[in-house]
Amino acid sequence: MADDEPTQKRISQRYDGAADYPRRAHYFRGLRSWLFAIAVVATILGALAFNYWGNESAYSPGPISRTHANLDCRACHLEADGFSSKLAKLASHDAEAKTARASSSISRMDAACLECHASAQLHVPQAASVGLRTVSTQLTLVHATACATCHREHAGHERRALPSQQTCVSCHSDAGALTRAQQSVKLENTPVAAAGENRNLGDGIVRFVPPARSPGALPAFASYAEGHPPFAYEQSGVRDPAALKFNHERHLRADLPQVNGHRLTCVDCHRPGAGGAFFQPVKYEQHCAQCHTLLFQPSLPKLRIPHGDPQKVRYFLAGREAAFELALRVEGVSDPVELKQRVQVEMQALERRVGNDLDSLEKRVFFEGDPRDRAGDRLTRADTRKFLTECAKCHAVSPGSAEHAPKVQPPNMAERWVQRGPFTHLPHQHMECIDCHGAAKRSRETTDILLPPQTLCAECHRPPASPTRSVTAPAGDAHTHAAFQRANGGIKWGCTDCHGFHAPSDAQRIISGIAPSSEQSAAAR
Amino acid sequence: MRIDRSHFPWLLFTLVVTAFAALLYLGNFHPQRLPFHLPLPGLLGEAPPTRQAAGATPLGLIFGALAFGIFLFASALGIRKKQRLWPIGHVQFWMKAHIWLTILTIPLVLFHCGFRVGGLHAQWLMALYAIVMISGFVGLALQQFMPRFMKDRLPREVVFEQIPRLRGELFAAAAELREGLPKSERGDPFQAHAPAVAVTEDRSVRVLAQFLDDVCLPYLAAKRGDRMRLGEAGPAAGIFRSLKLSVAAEWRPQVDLLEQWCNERRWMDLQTKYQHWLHGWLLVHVPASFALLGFTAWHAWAALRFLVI
Repeated sequence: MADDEPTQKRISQRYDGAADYPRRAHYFRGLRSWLFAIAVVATILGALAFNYWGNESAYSPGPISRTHANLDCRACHLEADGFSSKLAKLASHDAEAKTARASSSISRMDAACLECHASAQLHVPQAASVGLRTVSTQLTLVHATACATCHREHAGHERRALPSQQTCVSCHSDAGALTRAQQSVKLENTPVAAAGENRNLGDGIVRFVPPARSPGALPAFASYAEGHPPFAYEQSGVRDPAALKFNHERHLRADLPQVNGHRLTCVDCHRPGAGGAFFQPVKYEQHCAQCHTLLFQPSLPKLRIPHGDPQKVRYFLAGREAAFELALRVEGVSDPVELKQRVQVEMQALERRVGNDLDSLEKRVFFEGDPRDRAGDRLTRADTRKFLTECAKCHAVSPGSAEHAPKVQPPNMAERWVQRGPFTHLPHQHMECIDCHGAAKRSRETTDILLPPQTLCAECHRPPASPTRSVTAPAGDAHTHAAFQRANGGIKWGCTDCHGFHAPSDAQRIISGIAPSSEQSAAAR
Repeated sequence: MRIDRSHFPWLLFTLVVTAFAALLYLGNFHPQRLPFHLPLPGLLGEAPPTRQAAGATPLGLIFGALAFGIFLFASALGIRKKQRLWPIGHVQFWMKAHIWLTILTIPLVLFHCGFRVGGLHAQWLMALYAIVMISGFVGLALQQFMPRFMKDRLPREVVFEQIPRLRGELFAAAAELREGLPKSERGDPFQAHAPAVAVTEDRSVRVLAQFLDDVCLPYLAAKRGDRMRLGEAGPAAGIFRSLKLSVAAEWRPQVDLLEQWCNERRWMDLQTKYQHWLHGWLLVHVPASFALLGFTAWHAWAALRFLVI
């Protein structure tokens, strides 16, 4: 133990006789080895003990929702495939294998869901398709498999929020997946006309029924603003089937006589219904009669040709003398002699204008109206509109016979145009009508469809132009607000804002009733 | 292991793999967060995942399996250190791989679990993983400065494993010195403060014997010498200065020798303390790592058992 600086010799001398120290474990290493052994053994024993006596809820990846809190793990995680089968499925990414997963643990979990939620097993048909089943030639079926895709569990006690539209897009952006998921049931109905039809399907509302879309690959798309299929009324060849002759362009012109002191506007005819969600049907008496009167005789302004029933018109024309007498009585002529004389005068005036035989009269009323070039046939001296407007001006009229009055086709105007989405006008009240229905300003034919194209809706209903920027509209009038929304988007653009996922609860029952054969049902399954 | 320039390729590798994994994770689980569309093969699973647990998707399982594989590789470092002659790469390479691949498990594990801790089982697993990683980082940090710190603070180092034997030798030498002292009656050694001219040989022997019996030998024999007076450099120097004044000149070389032994003992105690700092984290890191390995295997088994495919 010298105090000099150590040399190699001294160091080696110092450890002389103890050179085997590397083979003698220091207590530190020994302690480490013991702790290592304890850790390994404790882990193995802990795992084994837990497997036999532990609560399996410890494996749960997160809190289960309150609705399912009283269920055991195996209520959903039914004894499924073995490890090898699962590993094989993981290794396989074949699309067909994914679809045909009748024996997979997913389908078993779905089965467990349907134990309680049996009515939720269909994704399609949606309520609209079920409602149109009496006019459709086929009904599309899509089963709502993989419930957990949307209804995620183990993510908290509270009720789950609806899935993001990415969940919908994951299928709807894949045409192959759509085709594979879809099944059809043929229905014994007459196909809808190629231009579409307006029909009352029993609920008192006239709906536009579009023709079946041409067969082919189902449209796949990424979002409402990117590739969403056009609305059914946008299909090529589809026209407004309403049997009415109406010229929107003419009615919006500035030279039209004013109504109630102002230029005619959209809301003079299209009035919101109760609640403002939908518009009232346009009725002649409420919306047309003020301008398009059915005056019969210039000297008797209260005498009108009846509207709505051609046979009543024929009776009216046949009994025109009695009609004159009644009208004169309403005007205060009560003396029988004077009454008779005045009736004769009116009859002669009518004869001068139209003629005296019923056929001529019917022809004038139903088909021709008053000639435009005769001042006496005008409503007033200043107004060039015809005094007697023929039915055929607005309606499709076919000739009658001696037994039957001419046939006037009812207008049959559609009250609902879109069936799949719950569109209402309420959230759009800040907008001008022409913001969406701008085509009305140019439309001269009733067959023109004046509803907005889907791309126009997507101008507002799309993700915000800048996700980091606020989409709150600046202060200003409604027009500024609408313009801002168009420029920036950010208004409800999620799939579930318009569409529900599950078929209506009675769809399964209805499908069962109309399914033509068990084979197709089996195929659909 | 010191982190120096030679680690740069590993750092680069870790960053690149992390970026690639992050791209896959975002592209598959959060495609809306990417500023561009990333077409991914169908085998990675549906995007976004059909269920809440990202780890149960094919991509999540790939991340988890990679992390598990790295755990296995990291645990093999102990074998590599023991089997020095196996031709399976330099130990330094293994050490670097151990450090950087385990750092790579952090993003892999986070992507596997989807940044969610999960249930009780997964929480325990994550806690164990955190213990392993934190202890590893502590060890790595200590290895960056402790060697230099020891070099600065320790005048002389000995082989750590030899410290108990060397301490025994120091005690044996001091005991031998004590035995070699002439027989003398015990006296109060603290009369040593008296002037040196008054010191006689008999008194020197008495003082030296009493110092050895009461102070030096107990210190050299003690398990925790740092708690004794000679365990501190300043007081010890004072004691030995006083002792030298209390003994005759011919006994001062023995006093110097005793001081040298006590200093060596103190350095060895200090070295032991530093060694405990330098390697103590392994007492946590190694057992926790193997517990993590077992726990991860258990986790994989449980996950496959309840996995819905």
